[in-house]
Amino acid sequence: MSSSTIKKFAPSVLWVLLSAVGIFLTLDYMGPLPTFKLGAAFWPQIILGAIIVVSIFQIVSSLIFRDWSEGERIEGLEKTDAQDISDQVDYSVGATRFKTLATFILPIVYVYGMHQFGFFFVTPIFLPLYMYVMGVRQLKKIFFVSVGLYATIIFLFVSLVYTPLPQGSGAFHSLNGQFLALFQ
Amino acid sequence: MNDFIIGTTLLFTDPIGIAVFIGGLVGGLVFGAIPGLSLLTLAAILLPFSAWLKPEHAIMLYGVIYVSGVYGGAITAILFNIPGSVENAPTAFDGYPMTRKGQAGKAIGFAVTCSAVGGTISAVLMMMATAPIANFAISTFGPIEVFAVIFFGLTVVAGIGTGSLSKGWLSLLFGLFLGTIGLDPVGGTPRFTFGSLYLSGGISFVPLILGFFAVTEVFIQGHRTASGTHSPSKISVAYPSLLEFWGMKFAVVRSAIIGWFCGLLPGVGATLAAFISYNEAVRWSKEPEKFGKGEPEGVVAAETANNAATGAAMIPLLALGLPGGALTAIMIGVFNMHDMEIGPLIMVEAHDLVWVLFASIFWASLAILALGVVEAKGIVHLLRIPFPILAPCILIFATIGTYALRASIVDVYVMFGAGVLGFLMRKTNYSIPAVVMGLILGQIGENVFSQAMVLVDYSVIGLFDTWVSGFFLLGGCMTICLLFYRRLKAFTNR
Repeated sequence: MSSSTIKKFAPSVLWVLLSAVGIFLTLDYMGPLPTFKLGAAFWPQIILGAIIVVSIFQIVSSLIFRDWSEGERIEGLEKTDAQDISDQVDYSVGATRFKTLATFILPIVYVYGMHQFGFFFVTPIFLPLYMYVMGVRQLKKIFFVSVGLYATIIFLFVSLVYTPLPQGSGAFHSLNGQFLALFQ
Repeated sequence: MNDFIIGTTLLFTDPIGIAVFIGGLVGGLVFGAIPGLSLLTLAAILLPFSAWLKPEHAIMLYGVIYVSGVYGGAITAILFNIPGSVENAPTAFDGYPMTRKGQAGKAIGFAVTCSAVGGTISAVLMMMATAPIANFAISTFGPIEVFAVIFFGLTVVAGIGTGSLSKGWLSLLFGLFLGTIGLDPVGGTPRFTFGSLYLSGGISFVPLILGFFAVTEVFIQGHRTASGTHSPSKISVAYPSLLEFWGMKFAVVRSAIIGWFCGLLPGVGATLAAFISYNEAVRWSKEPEKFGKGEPEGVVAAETANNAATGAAMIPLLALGLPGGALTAIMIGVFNMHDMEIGPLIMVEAHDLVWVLFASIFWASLAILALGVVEAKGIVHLLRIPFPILAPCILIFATIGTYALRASIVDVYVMFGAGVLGFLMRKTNYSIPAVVMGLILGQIGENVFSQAMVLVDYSVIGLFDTWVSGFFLLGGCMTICLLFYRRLKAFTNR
């Protein structure tokens, strides 16, 4: 089997496998409920069953009618996101790969940092850093935008509407609490 | 008519009334537009203060907030792919692609005008026949009929936002599956929770919607910026022409009717209205494949319907004391704070107050048009902010919006997870609108399905017993066959 064939069928097979696992998990609570004879498993089983049917249809149709997957495409459509995203990027360039990864990873690190150290301490670091990763190089611009946005957030969400924001854990929790008290 | 004139006079002859009206209008627009702030936030903040207002001003304030807030969320949905609230999500399906195409002015123009038209039609109908309509809707639409309507709506979703029928179906089914995570709606049995307390509460709409739309967009544009292929959205303040508006007349009327009927149903409201109306726009269109890619009718359908639902939601509230959603439930609290019992007698006991509310909803809908026209010309210039500066702002606002919902950091992780998933789905040509519709309509659908099956004693044939449910269920089945037939025909023609 060629690698292109594997690539073609892999998503459908993955859907079937995941759905089968899902159905297996529903067996734990299969059976009627006192107030609902069909039970709690009925609705998810119908959905997961339908996913299996559509995935098998996808596999079979591309085997029998080789051009089906192409035939499914609607003619005259403008370029899809899929083409739009992948066509233009040269992943072989190291800097591009690094910047792309940073775009994804930095927000995740930000959330983790927010969980540990609190919103008020991590946000002033995240804002300028993300702008830098996104390509802003004028330090003055980074500084003023970060300060302005941070001040706006504090005023709007903390002082005005008392929105709950992550306060971190351990010593940072009380530090963030004191910071909150300062502005509320 | 006399009652309406009395209501309007009472509203605009008192300076405090005018101030409350304008404050509610602007407050609703702002709170509706910023993720993290919502109509409910504003309504909750104002609740204690409303005790000091005259009863008619307090009730009117909430009516105005409701109308303007539902519209407010459309602006960020169109400009930045961040729906202000769940009912504005379908607006983003086509509104944001229009912005990318350099048609932001047109998209906002359609949203403003159609919100105003939808709200006004709804207000007029509300004034004409509150009590009889409420009785008809409540007695005709039970769980069986609501399930049939949702089924009918879902059958068309597979064709939205993707060129592949099977990927459209898989996206929809994946959304439906996500909706099953948590406790089942009848017996409270945990499903796919893996012992997690967080998952027991189900996956909340807001983190997923912000993740799929806002975060995914930041990742995609960030990816393009990193590779030097990012092209900023073209800025255009071109307002739709009269001819373009006229071309949307059927879509507006259809969406207003759908929105209005959905608004009447307790517990359903503007969210279902916007999604069902969008689906119907796709179903009725001669070029359904254009939806999800910047079709103005998508914006028209969603915005007309969600605003048409606002006036309609007042009907069961006032006539029967049944709130259609969280905001109308808060309104019951406002009535109670002013020693009034809501229900059929309210039209007699507080006649003038009810007509001040009706008049304020009518005038708020029209005021949106005036405010919106001015706003559309100015707010589009927000797109001039370079994306590298906008991106962290979007992420921060989305983070606050998600966290503020339940003060849960897991929600924020879910939002970023949805962002990554959304990126991968768009890269592989799956449909994000279909996932979101599956999730939202699926949760409501399962709930009413359980009730419906008990009502028909578990007989599937019983679901076809009433003409309303039979019509929608058969219509849904025919849509599936038609979708399949169209693709088969396209294949055999090649």
